[in-house]
Amino acid sequence: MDTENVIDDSSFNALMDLGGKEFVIQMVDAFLKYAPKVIGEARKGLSTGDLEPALRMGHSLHSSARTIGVVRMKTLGDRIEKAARERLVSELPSLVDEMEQVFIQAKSCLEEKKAGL
Amino acid sequence: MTASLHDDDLARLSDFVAERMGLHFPYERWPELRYSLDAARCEFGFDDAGDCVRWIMSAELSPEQIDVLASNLTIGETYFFRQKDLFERLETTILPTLIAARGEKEQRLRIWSAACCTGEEAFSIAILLKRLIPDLSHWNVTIRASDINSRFLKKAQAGEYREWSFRNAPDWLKEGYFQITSPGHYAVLPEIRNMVTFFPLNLVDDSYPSLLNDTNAMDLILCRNVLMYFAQDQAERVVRKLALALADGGWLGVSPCETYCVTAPDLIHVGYSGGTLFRKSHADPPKREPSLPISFFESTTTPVPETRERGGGHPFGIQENEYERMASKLANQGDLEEALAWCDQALAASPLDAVCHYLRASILSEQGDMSEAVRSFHRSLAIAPDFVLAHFAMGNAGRQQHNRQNAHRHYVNALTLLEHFGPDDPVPYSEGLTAGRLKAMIKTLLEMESLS
Repeated sequence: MDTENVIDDSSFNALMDLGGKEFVIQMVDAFLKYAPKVIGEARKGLSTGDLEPALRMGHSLHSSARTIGVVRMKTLGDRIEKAARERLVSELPSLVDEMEQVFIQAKSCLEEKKAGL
Repeated sequence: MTASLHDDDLARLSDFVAERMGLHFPYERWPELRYSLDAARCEFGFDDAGDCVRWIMSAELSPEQIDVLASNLTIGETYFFRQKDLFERLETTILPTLIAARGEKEQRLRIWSAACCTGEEAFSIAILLKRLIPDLSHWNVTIRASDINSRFLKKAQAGEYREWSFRNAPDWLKEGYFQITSPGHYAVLPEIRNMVTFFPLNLVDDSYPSLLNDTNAMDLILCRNVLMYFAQDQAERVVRKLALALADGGWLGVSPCETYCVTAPDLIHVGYSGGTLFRKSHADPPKREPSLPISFFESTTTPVPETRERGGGHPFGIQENEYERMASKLANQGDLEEALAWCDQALAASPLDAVCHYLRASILSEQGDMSEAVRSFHRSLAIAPDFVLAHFAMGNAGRQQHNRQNAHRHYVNALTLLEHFGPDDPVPYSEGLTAGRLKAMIKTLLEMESLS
């Protein structure tokens, strides 16, 4: 898969420089485990009108995706956090769907990157 | 405008400042309290002093408002090389002995001026060390200087003094270590100014010793002309905490009229003419047990905090474990190599432990390895981007490295994250520091930086 537009190599490499191979592998694994969990919680929250899990998901994925270099998830995380803060209830479900799609794509790319370390 | 100020008001105010700031105003000092309150009243915007006292009693004062009160109640009167006999003793015996002992191995010295007022004491020590250590640039010398009064700290940070600060100072002082900025005004030379780091600290309320504010494992602490303003029990408590902040064999200097406050059992009076120095007795260092089972480590890991506001909720989270507690304890005692070994052991088992990276960074910073310390702080923030203390520490590191842009950015990040906390909420992993107090400290540091 072409990871070029999904993962920002400079962020990924900076993380590698900072912590080395083992550190990056652990970070990626933790991210891959954490993201679907919080996306699921956000979706569940929205189904009952609770925006807090979406806000939390947006905030945390914004910063963790930025650290790892998953650019689209970072941007989406920011949008979701803002939408949840402004209580834009109608926009949130589609943003969460989009986040899930982007995550599926990013997951393959990150696994590929990890295997290449 | 103090006519409406009754004895009842002064009694209540006296109790309040004793409790919140440790400042002791017995009846015979009430005229001084009345005078100081009048100055604070103007700043708080009251026409009537009685109304001002009643407001102070009834309002939940913010740390900034406490700071205004403290600034008006504390006395800023000091000068270079104050108490000549003490400085002679430091110059001829204590510092040379420390330097000789440390020169053989780690070339590290840690000194804290714990009630630094406008900085003269801390700069006097820096100048002494400059004279005593020919290869000073090869040493890792830390001189920390704290005060409760942010106005004093700003003046200290500026490092500019008038003639009055040089009364009783030796002749060589101005000529060798100051430059004239205008007639009668002298600025301490940058090489001396850069040896001292000023920071806000309330000796009664704030937490120390701590890696957080770099107040641990000190070789020498000077805490002079402040204990006398505390109630006896508070002064004794402060001295006990200062004793904890000393490395084994470290020295505490108080002023001659304050020796009655030094009742800590591990502080031994070392007599000399003028006699105001105490030495912390040696204790057996704790031993590391390198074969702790991993399961023990895992079973003592606390869960990642649930809420975003508490700095958790990230995939990599914040954890704490026994290895860290041991590393922290050893670092507080000054055994940095052993503390680092514990950190490395913890990180080998749990590489995504943000607190441990932070602790490792703090230890490295204390060892003077700033570049590796900054890398560890970065790792901590990569793992937990909302870790307030790591931003604060990065701000301090930027300040220490004279990188004002970095310092400013991280201080502002910490302030932004603190917006999610109530003023009395404890900052996670800070040993009890409240969010309001940390905000006030950062604001003071930002103001000090803008002046320097």
